This record gives sequence, structure tokens and C-alpha cells, in this order.
Amino acid sequence: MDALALLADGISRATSPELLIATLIGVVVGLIVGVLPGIGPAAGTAIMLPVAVGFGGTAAIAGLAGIYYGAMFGGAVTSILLGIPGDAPSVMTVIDGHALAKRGEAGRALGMSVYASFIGGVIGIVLLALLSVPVAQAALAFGPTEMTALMCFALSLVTVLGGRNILKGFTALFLGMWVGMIGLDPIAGPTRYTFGFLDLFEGIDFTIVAVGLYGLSEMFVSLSQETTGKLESYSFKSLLPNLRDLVTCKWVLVSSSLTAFFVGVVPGVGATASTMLAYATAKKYSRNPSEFGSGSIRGVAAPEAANNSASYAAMIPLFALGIPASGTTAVLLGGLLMVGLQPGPLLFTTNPEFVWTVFGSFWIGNIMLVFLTTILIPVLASIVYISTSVLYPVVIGIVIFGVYSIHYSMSDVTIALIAGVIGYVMLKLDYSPVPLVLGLVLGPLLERGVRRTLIVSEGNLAIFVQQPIALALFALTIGVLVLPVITRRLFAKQT
Amino acid sequence: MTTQTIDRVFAGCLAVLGVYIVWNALAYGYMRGTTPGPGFFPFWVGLGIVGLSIANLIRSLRGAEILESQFDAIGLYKALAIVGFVAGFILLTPWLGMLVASGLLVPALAFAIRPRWTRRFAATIVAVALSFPVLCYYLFAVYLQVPLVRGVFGI
Repeated sequence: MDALALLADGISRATSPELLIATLIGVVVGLIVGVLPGIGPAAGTAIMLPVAVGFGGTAAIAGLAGIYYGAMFGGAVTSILLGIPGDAPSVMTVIDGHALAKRGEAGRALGMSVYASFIGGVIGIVLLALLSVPVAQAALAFGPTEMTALMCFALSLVTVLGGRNILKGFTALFLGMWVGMIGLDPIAGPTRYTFGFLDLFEGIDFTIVAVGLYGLSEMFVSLSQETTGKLESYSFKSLLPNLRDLVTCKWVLVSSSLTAFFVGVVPGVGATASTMLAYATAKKYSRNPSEFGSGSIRGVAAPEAANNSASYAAMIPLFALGIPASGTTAVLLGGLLMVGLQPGPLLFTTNPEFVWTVFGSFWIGNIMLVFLTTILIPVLASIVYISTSVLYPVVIGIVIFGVYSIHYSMSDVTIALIAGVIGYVMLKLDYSPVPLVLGLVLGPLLERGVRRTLIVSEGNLAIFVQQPIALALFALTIGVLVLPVITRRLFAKQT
Repeated sequence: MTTQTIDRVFAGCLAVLGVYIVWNALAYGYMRGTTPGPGFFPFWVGLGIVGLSIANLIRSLRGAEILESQFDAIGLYKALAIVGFVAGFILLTPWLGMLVASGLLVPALAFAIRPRWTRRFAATIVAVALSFPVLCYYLFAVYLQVPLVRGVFGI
């Protein structure tokens, strides 16, 4: 129970005025990001990253994480009222949430989404506090060989699970790794792939590429989409906690939160897949599965509890292992590195106050979101109608100023713009930008790990399979890579 | 040019990039004695890009590649116009300064996204264009103490 005491300490520290303001800004931006169909949590976090790091360590990460879990709350509002999912994890909420709204029960659905999100959040934060320390302690036994194997495993999972096209996912991953190699070689010294540009000698900053790839490209893609949908009405009173609904959904809320947490902790699965699984499980074990899809309150409770719980689950690999499990956590990893912190098992021993204060800010943010979402629903629902021709120029302007403020360089703005164009082409051609960003973040770490290990072993590759943990992880990696090919062949034979 | 053609050209370009990466990796030095040199990792990464890009190209040529979204003319023109205006902003900033240039960028981007303006929309954009540099000045120059690029107007 030490972990819960540490969490309580973290919560008390997270109530300092500076952190309260940072968390408040983060969750409000997250709510807006969750509502806007063109901008997902990864893009929102990436856009705010250069601005947030200006505010300093704990406040920056508390604010950035607030955008991530705030988006989970916000996504439900447009899903229910308009039938438009603001972001991918709220897709399942549309099915029953909007059906309830069309039946005149929008307030009931919105109320349930808020309290389900809160309950999912509470369960997620408690499990995060309880499990992150044992995971970090286990990882402390990992040497460079095991960490290299773990990175390979995580990258293979993310790439296989992350996108529709596995081959293109791996192409993006390798491309990201190459971009990460631009600049001075970290071990031997010479510059690589700088094309003679002095600005590239220090390498390409992860944040700049992430802002372009996520922020700008998603806006470019959404330029051809129009916001449609009729806003369903609701009364403010109907948003208040409905005890009968909460009692009806109690098991769905708990089981969905638990399912999504343990599935969401696996790199590459993310909140969206966890939400889908939680919805399917709730439907399967329901006494009346036929009500799902036509306006079931359980159909709102399950995905909303799940996506919040999964968003905290993704923090375990990030904080305890230093491995981002999704696009958004990759941006958070970049944020941690920018404020001078190396996420991983040592973070819990070298900077425990930082870790627990950030976890405490999750708790505060979760409580803030209950009140903010309830109060701001009319505003959030109307934000979706703000013309992109007013919104996007402002967001692009903030992106430009934010990117410039990292190194006070207009060259960085040019790089972000190029990354935005490449990201736009990639999205259109079905290359997911997530593996590229993960390759960019983890590629240099992987290269250092592989080369240092081979320097120790004097070039003997057998070192990678001499340690049992590393061997098991490499075997799992091969399994992850080969399994989709085998299942596809079997499926093809059956059909 | 169809999206499928662009997909093939993109895969081809990536394969060429992969060859360039491998070529340079060998020049950097694959091994240094018994230990891996600066070209060791890029060599395998480049080789991966070549192999995967050729596989993507073959899949596309055989019709096995089904793309979910297509380039649409309106979206493409809007994106290109935005890129052009931001490029213009980058070029003009040394003369105009970031704040003045951003005041011009906002209406330019609004025009790129929505070329036909009503009087009400124009008023909104003018208000946003005037208030945006002020907001950026206080957030970045004053609060975050970022030294913004100044132009001929001294701001």
C-alpha cells in the first residue's frame, strides 16, 4: 500500500497553484482537442509541446498529460450530441450515445459518459500507482542487452498493431530511425546525412518533426472534411448523476476499466482498441445484448470507462520502461526528454517526487474534468461548429511560434512544415506516422544499445541471445512479426 | 495523377532514399576493427527501407494495395496554399518581424481555407488577425521570454 501513500503525497503536491493552473490548462485544451474531429490527442499534445516545455518540468508534463486524458472526456460530447467522434477512442460511444440522444436522452448519455470517464480514470490511476513501481523494479535488472531486446519487442508490437498496413508501418518505422540518425554519430563522432547543412549537425529535434507530422498533417487531411450533424438537445438537470444508471452499470464500469487497463498497457494496443474490446465484452456478457446499438446506457458506460482507464495504462510502459506505447505517449516521452528527464526504471529512484506529483496531477485533473465537462458541454458542443478557416490559422500560428521558441530558429519552422507535408502524403497513402515518430524517438536509443553491446562483446552477436530475458523477448518479437503472416495464410486457405 | 500512382512514386522514391542511405553508410564505415562503426546501423536501416519499399511497390503494381483515402483536388489545393503561405511567412519574417508577419499570415491562411468571404467572416478574421500577434507577444515574448525575430518596424 506504499504506492497509494506515495500517490496521496503526489496529490497533495499537485495542488500547488502552479500545478493546478498547468493541469487546468491541459485538461481544458484536452477537452477542446477531444471535441475537434480534425485534431486527435497526439496532434494536440504535439502542438502544445513547445509551449508547455517553456513552463518547466512537472508543470509541463502535468499539462501535456492533461491534454491526453482530457481528450478522452471531450470526445464523448460530440459523439453523443452530434454523432461525430471527436477522436478515435470515442468511436464506440457514438453507437449507443447518439442513439440515446436521438431518443431525447442526450443528458442521460452525457451524464453517464462523464461519470464513467471519472470511474475509469480513478481505477486507471490506482492501478497505475500500484503497478508502475513493480514494473520499474523488475526492469532495473535489465542490462543494455535486455533493454535492446525490450525496445525491439515494443517497436514490433507498435508497428504490427498500430496501423492497417504492416509493411508500410515498418517502412515508416525505418524512415523514422533514419531521421533519428541525422547529425553527429553519438559514439564515433562523424556527422551523418546532414547534406552539408550546419543546422542539421545537432540532429533533427523530435518535437519539431512530431508537431509537423501530427499537428500540421492532420489539419491538412481534415481540410477536405466538412462538419455535419444535427445537435441534439438536453437539459442541464439531466446531466446530474443518475444513481439508478450508475447502479445498473456498476459491473460494466468496473470490468470495462479493468479490461481496458490490462489490454491498454500493451504497447501498440492503445485506447481505441481497448475501448472496442471493452464494448464487445460488455455486450457479450450483457443479459440483453440486443439493446446494444440501439441506445443502451451500458453501451455508453463501457467505452467511456475503458478509454480513460487505457489512457493511464499507457503511462506504465512510458514511465516505468521508457517506452512509448502510442503516438501520444511518444510525444510525452519527447516532453520528458526536453525537460531533462530520462523516463525508465531509474526515474522512480532518481526523481520519485516528480513521478508521484505527475501521477497526483492525473487525479486532480480527473476530478477537474467531471466539473469542467458538465459545465462546458454547451461550449464544447458549439466548438465543433467553429469554422476551420478561423480555427486552423490560429492553431498553425501557435505551431509556428511554438516551434520557433524551441531553438529560436526559423529553420525549425521549415523542418516542421516539411514534416507536415510528408505526414500529409503519408496519411493519404496509408503510412501511419506513429511508427515514424516512435522510430525517431527510439531509433537513436536502440542504435546506442546495439552498438555498445557489440563493443562490449567485440562484435559477437551471440551476446543478444545469451541472456534468458533478452532471448525470451527476441523470441516474442519474432512471434509478433511472424504471427500475422501465418494467420493471414490460414485465413486465406479457409476462404 | 491518381493516388495509386503517387503511392508507387512515393515507394520508388523511398527505395532510392534507402539506396542512398546504404551507400553513405558504407562510406561512414560499417565496422571499425571488431566493433560496429558509424555506418553499421544506417546500413541495416537503409537496407530495410529498400526491401520494404520494393515490397510496397510490387504490392501496389499487383493491385494488392487498397488505399482507404484518396487525394481530393480541393483538399490538396488548400494544403498547398497553406504550405505556400507559411513558406512566404518564413521568407518575410526577417524583414517584417514575426509579429507583423503573423498578423498577415492569419488572414492569408483563412483565405487559403475559405476563399469566399462574407462581410461578417471578414470582420471576424480581421479581429483575429489583429489580436493574434498581441496574444503571441504576451505569451511568447513576455511570459516565456522568447526573443522573437524583429523586422524593419522594430517589433
